[in-house]
Amino acid sequence: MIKLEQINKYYALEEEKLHVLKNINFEIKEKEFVAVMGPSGSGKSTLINLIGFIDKKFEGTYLFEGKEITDFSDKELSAIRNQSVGFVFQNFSLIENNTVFENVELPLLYNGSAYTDTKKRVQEVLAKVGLADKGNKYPKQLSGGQQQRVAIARSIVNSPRFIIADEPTGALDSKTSEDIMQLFQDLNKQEGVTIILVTHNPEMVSYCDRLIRVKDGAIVEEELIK
Amino acid sequence: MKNYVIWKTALKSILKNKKRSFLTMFGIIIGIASVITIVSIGNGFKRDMIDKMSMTNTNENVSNITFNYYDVANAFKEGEVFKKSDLDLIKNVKGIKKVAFYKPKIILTERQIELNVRGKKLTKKVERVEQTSAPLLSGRQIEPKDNETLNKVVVVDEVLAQKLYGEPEKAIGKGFEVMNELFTVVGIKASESGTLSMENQAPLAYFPIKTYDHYFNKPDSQSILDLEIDAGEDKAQVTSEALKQLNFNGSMRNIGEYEVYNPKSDIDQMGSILDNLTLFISAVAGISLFIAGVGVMNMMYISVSERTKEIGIRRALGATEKDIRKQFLAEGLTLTLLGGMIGYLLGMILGVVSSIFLPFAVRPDLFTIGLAVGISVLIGVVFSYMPASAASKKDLIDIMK
Repeated sequence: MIKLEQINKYYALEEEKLHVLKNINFEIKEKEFVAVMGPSGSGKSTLINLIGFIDKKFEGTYLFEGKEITDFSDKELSAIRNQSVGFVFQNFSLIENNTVFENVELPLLYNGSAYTDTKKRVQEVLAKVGLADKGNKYPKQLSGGQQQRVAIARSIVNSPRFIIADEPTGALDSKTSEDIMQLFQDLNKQEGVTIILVTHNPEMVSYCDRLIRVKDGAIVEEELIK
Repeated sequence: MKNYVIWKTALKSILKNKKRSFLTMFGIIIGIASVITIVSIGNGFKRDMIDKMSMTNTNENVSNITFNYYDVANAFKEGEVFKKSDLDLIKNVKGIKKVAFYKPKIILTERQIELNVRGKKLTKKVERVEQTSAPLLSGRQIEPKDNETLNKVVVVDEVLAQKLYGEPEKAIGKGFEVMNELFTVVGIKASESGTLSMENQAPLAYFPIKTYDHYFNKPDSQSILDLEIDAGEDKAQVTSEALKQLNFNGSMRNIGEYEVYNPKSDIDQMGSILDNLTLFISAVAGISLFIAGVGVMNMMYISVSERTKEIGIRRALGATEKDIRKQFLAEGLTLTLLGGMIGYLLGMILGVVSSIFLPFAVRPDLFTIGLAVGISVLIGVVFSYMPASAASKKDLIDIMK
């Protein structure tokens, strides 16, 4: 589904040119649960931004479902972000002024839905993450684990092709982390959602099918788990 | 994203920051309110003037001639400006269909007459009426039938009656001589000031209007003429020919000049003074609106930088640059429109309240509504476009860090 060929990325730092991604090649298939690991500054966030259609300034070929992502306009990229990918972040990234329901509803609205069409779908995904009764609460009224569940509900509400989870358990205690990882695994196993998980924590890798290690902007190791 | 979803989002974020939003709107409210107050009062005044001054004869083929004295003092001495000979003179000018006295809509009912009071000649104000209704000391009121039958009757003021007949009560049934015509006193009106001196501005006698006009033959203002010109003739040319005749042979040619009179020019003149005043106050209000606009811009910039994270989230969830720009534009516009609406209401209330003390009505009209909406939309767009663009142009990679 996702195929990266000879991806290079440079940051221009004053006169120096920083080579952040070096000849990246890999592939992610549908329904996979892939972990990306690496120390800070290894370039994994850059890689993730690239895969998630946030960064479009790179060299090489990015094939998404056989189509090359190149000079897409802002409108096209936004549409792909909206429909094909769901984001889950370490800091939850919920809009504080909106209720849980409104937060989850947002991707549907950006996809052109009217208010009246969203209710059923939002309730459905909230139920899936176990927060069916929390729709009218504000993010601040929820615990960290619950907020991350809201973020997960928001990431799957548009039935995306894959989910990018950027250290989703980084701000949570170990018990809650386990619950969240279990939720990801259920989504992957039962719903067949493709998940790309970025993490520091080796314990989390056990939930995944495959591990990609990144170091100094290059993929140093790929291994299958189990 | 659907437009009304964007509007709702904008409205919500404005309501979220009620105090700040209100303070930002304040300048706009003041600016719009002052513009609306002055414009609505001005419009009310103009409407009133046009109502009062517009001619009964709106015929296209009519022009008016008036007479200007060289010495203004003469204007008070001479009773008639246009005599029958003058009318005959211009009737013969080619192209003139009809000559008549100009009839204003509001008929002046007052007249100044000379009275003989114990050998002294006094010029006093009298009133021509259909009927009287003022409280009487004795006798009866003037009734409509007095007019119909051209009854030579008069109701006189208590003080005048005292001067003429000794005691007010004795005046009933006595004769009242005006310019060699004898009227019968039928009623005595209670005096308001109790004096005959100059400070008494109330009329001293009331005549049935038809009777008065019948005997003194001064039906209407005779200082302005209506010239009706034959269709097909050049109005300006015929009028100037008539003027030439009058200035050559007119009865008053030695003490003044005959001129074209345009009743609309008075209104136009008043209107232009008012327009200048409106312009001046609008300019002052414009400065206040400009500063208010800068305030809106400031608040929008603050809002954008405060909500960088929110913008990032929205972009990641699929908002296009255009969606973000629209959202912030809508926020600025809603703010200024709300301010404009409140300002309009305030201005209208001020206008209506001040119209209690003014002799004309102030009411909302489409022009002022359009003005308020137009100005607020303009300010909203002009001053939120840059912050909204800045919000939409934020680099997604930078804000996702």
